Amino acid sequence: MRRLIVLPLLAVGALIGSLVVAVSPANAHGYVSSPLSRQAMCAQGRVSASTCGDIIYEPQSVEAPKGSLQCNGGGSRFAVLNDNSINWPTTSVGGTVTFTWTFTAFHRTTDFEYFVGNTRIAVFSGNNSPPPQGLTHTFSLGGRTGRVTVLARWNIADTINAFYSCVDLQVGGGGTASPSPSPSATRTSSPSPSPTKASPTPTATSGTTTWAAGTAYKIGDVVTYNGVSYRCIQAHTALVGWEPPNTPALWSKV
Amino acid sequence: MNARTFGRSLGMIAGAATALVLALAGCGGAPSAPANSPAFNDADVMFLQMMVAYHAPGEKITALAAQRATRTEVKQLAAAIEVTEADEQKKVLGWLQEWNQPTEPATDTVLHADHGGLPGDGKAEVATLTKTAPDKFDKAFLTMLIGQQHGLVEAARAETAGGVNPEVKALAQRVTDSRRAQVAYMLTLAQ
Repeated sequence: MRRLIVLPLLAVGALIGSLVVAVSPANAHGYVSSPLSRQAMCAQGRVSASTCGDIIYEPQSVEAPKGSLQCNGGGSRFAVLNDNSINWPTTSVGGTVTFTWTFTAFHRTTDFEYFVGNTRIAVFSGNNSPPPQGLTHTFSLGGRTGRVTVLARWNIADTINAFYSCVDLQVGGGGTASPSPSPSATRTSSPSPSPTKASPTPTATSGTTTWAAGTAYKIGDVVTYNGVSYRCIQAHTALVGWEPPNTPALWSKV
Repeated sequence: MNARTFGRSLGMIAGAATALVLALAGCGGAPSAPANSPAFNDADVMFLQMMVAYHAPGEKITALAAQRATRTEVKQLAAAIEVTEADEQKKVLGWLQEWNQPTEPATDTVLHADHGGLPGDGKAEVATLTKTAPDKFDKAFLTMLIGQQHGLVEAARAETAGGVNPEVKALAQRVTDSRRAQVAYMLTLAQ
């Protein structure tokens, strides 16, 4: 009996070792998703993956000790976020802005702070509680106009760390007109169209075309992919990773 | 970690270890390891279990959004995610069953803390969305789903780094690609 369990136990030991190694590196928690922060611009594809690096996979992971005024929090990763020589796209806003947070983990929170340069322009208590998904904060930019970069800092109550997001804004001449409560209030009116699947979505033309990400397909549309024809069985906008051979729920072989 | 969850994680790890040993030893006769079943490791199992864990809330909120979303693009996206993920789940559950592995990851908080914790069962998310006013629904749904898909990208990248089963690793690559594309699209829709 004793001999029988030796091998499994050794294997267990080895696997526990490998689990510890596998689990340690990543820390995923939260970022400003609207207006698009620098890391969200990377995840969204407005700034190229070759410029952005690993942040494209985990915009929620910009975690570093509290107290920094750098866009990456002064940590060892994601230094690209501090690089002002990159022409970070801006979002056009009025004198008052509403920021939305996307979370992947809900830590007890001391507060959320917002800075322009070295000046703290707003702070919101976290009441030592986990924040709700999609939390928003509305605050004034204090009469600043033109290009303004706001640093958002989420201070965690039960660790030494904070999460950092820099948001690049183009503050219009509209002064401090009160923001409309509708979600479209924070909609970007930036003139440069997004190069990704976003706007305006092309629709499939009649006849057979080659499958293309970003195209809106309706039921019955026929495409070819690697020389094989497929018919759309569920209306959708095609995305990378949803190629017809991999998505039998969307495409049926003709 | 308390004794119960530790025992449970150990049980899961021991199960994975035994299956791995059997698979490596080519024990074709064992019911849990068919002769042609490729080897797998704890990272493969963990990734598949995370796929199951994220599917629970994911399917509830996408089903709700496929009905309640205001914009056609959001409605269609939710419906397409719902059906593609249901397909993925069949494969995922098939592997776990074939390998005789539990479908639930260990509830050990130490194991999952660095990965943002485990998702809930989706009831809280559905309750929140159900209470959300129609004009705020789309953004609330998108933000919720973006958060979940980020978690899956992380689980898939851990599989790419640490998994051994080629089919599961191929799935992980498709999950990374499709969820990143979804996040990019949803970030645009959520502005």
